[in-house]
Amino acid sequence: MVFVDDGEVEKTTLRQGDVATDIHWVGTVCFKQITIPSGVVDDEKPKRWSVSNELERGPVAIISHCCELDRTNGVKLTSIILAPIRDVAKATSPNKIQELIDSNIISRSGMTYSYLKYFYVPPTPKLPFDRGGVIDISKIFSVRKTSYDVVLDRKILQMTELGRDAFALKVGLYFYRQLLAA
Amino acid sequence: MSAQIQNSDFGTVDNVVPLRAGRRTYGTEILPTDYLIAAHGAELVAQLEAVIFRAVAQQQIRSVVSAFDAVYISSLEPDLISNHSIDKLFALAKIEDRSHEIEFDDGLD
Repeated sequence: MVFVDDGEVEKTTLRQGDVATDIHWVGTVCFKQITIPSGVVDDEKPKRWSVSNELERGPVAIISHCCELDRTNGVKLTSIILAPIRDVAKATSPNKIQELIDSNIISRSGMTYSYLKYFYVPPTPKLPFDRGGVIDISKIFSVRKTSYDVVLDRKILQMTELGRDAFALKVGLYFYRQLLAA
Repeated sequence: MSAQIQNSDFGTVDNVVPLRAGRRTYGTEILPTDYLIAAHGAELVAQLEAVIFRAVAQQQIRSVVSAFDAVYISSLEPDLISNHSIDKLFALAKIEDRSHEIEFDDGLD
């Protein structure tokens, strides 16, 4: 089971693997569509800017460590790391989805492959994905620490210990594999 | 308890020693089954880290924290720390990534 029951979701703190809804996917902004008002000279910091395309928003999973996120630990939090969750039904290779689901626990006996970029989350009434979604580790972005309460207010799901371990392992291995190949 | 592990393919790991239970490190309470693996050189330590991270997924190891030239592991099965197990863990490190075989038609890429 990836997520804890509703009654076990902690409402006062964020944890790694939490899912929050209706969050701007800041990482999807296209730099080429950012416009800075005319009249701003090169060495002047613009007071405002605009983006000509629609800003996508939706559910996100939290990547940051639990110990950083827990305010009672006294660890200095500098940012909150997030990753969007995409609708698995939009996959162009639906025949691969079952393989992806099976690879959530990477070191399962006999496993020789994985989909390190994606972590599958099963269907739940809290998410608008009938067939489940995938946390896209390649689309990680961060927001300021001052967004903590906004993200907390929109927290809808919390991972189990086992789910969090499997998720964190995939995140780590997604970035670590180049060293393995060497 | 202390032990010495030799692995000709990846070098030598010196000293596998139990950590003192009750202390806390990196926010984790140390249990009687927690061990410290000390190894020479960044390359060998990096290899060990990669292998042990996979053992976490198998639930044979509770957690792992690494720093500089040592790898701290928390084992649920002390026998895991043996020549045979280390070799097996290295074999698990060879995972093929198939992420490129799935794309999404949602306009986000």
